[in-house]
Amino acid sequence: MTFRWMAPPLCAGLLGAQTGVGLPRIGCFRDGDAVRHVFGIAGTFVVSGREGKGVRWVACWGNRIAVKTDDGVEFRDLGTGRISRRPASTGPAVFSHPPTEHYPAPRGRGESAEPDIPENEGGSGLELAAPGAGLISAAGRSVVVRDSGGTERSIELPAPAAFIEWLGEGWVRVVLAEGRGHLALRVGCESLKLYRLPDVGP
Amino acid sequence: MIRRAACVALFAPWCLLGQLRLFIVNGAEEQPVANTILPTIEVGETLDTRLRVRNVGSAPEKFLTLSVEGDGFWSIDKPLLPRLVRPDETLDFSVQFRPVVNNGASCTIRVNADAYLLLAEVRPGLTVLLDGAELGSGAMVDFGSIERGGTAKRRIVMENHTTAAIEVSLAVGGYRFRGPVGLASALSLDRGATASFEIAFEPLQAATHRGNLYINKRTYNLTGVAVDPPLPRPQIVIETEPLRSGQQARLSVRFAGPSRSSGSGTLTLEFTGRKDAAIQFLAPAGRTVPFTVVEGEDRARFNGRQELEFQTGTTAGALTFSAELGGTTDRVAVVLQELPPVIDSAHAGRTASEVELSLSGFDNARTSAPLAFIFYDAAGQRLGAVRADGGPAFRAHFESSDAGGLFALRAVFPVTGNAQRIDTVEVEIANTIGAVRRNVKIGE
Repeated sequence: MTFRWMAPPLCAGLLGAQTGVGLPRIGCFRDGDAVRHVFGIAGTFVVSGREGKGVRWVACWGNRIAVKTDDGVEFRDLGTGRISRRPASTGPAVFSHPPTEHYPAPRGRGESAEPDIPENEGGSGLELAAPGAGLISAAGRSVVVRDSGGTERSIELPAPAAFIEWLGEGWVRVVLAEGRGHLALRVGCESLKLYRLPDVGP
Repeated sequence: MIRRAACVALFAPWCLLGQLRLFIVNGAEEQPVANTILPTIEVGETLDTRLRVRNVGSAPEKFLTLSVEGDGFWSIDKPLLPRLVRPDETLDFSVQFRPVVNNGASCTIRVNADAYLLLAEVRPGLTVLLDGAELGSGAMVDFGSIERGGTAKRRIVMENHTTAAIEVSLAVGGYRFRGPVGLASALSLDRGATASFEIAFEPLQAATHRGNLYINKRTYNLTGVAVDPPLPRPQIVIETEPLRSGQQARLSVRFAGPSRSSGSGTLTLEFTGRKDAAIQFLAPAGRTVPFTVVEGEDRARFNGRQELEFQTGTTAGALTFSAELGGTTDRVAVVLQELPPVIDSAHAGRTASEVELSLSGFDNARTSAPLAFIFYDAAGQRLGAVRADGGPAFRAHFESSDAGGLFALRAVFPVTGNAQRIDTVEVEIANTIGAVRRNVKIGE
């Protein structure tokens, strides 16, 4: 829901404002060949049902979503409703953040041709580069975040991670091994904080 | 005293019987069933008597019915009836007698309309008693139903009312039956003497168990049912307190002690309040989830874990947790009080001509209305303010959302003049309970 009002010139520099109220978005992730959206705030998460099909890679940032299928990429801005589609070659992709561009993903990890662009392969690794947060890696029962200055922060997991992936702006999704569920790691704040996401089934 | 068995015809003289007559077969000989002495046996012994029906007439006769009636008697290999029996044709069958008590017994054998009475005498032997009543050979000794791991005992009493000592041999068979307890397995019971022993039923698994008690030639059936111990009474423990909206919290289902049995139950979360999809258990997810109980453990398990996370959502109301296990239920109710709006995150950015503010949070009372944005420069000097009634927009959003009181607010402020002067914006959102303020530093 969006509404608009014209504010009186209460100060010389502010002539008016546009304001909208909606549902807060955390991000999204790929579930099989579909996308699930995560809404909410820290401690209150609502995971949508599966949407779309043929999805190979997905990236979310704020209201922007990029979805890569085998033969194309779709960029969607949920704020404006604008959608653009482009053909794309088959194969993995990486997205810029915000996801307005995509690039063919390098086949080997650590060979990224686009520095500062996190890889998003639908969750296949235990390391990723998170814009604004640094390098995030999972090993055993812990996740370590190393910022550009080399400072490390870590947090314990309830079970070993199977893989980690970018969930949305300031959020990383940690999928636990052996079907122990998935977590949302908040990396955008001073201290790392871990939350459990509602199970979505196998 | 030894009494003897006799077999006599009754109800009609031999000469008045029909063409089909009943004989006892003894080797190659046939004796009419009359004045025939059968061997005397003891309780627990079995006597088979071969009988023959012969057509003694000169015309075929229909053999319609054959019955054997009497305690301890039954027929084996009865001929298939009805059938036509030609003159002098014979049909053989056997009657088995197995006395179960020391008393005499009688048996009526009916061949068509003719009735023959068999009288049997039993050599007195041991008298076996259970709960004061004589226990016939082949009878059932029922141990009832007990919890596995427990013990049930039945006492058997033996009395010798004969005039001589009786040598007694005792044995108990069956995987979970033990005995004789308290008495030797071989003994001599003097005349007039009494002896007793116990049989113990000690099942380890829930099932129907069967066994046997052997006293000399007598066999008694043993049976007992073992059931699992009852599941413990569940107790819901909220591990995170106090509870308020916007939380992820943990609970456990505990028992007073280690569970003596394994099983499963269900945990339910009910919410009294407006719709809020975020209020649920998390792993497994939903408002009703199963849990398991492992023998020896004092807590339930949810997908293998002994604690379960849940979300309190962003709507004021009452949460009621119910744990049902083995027919007992524990309930815990928690009230989520209405709160002033809560801001979870806020960001502000600036371009040459705009300041953009984004924040997310929740209003569990869903009554947010007044909004205020106050702008400051780096020195803390107030530059101006924008106030508005956000009520209609918030109401419209909450009515269209099933995600409780969650909201994201985005405001864009066009700026004339030098936008770089704006350093901080103070946001205030108020509902009927109170107001929240947050200073948001303007980023680039």
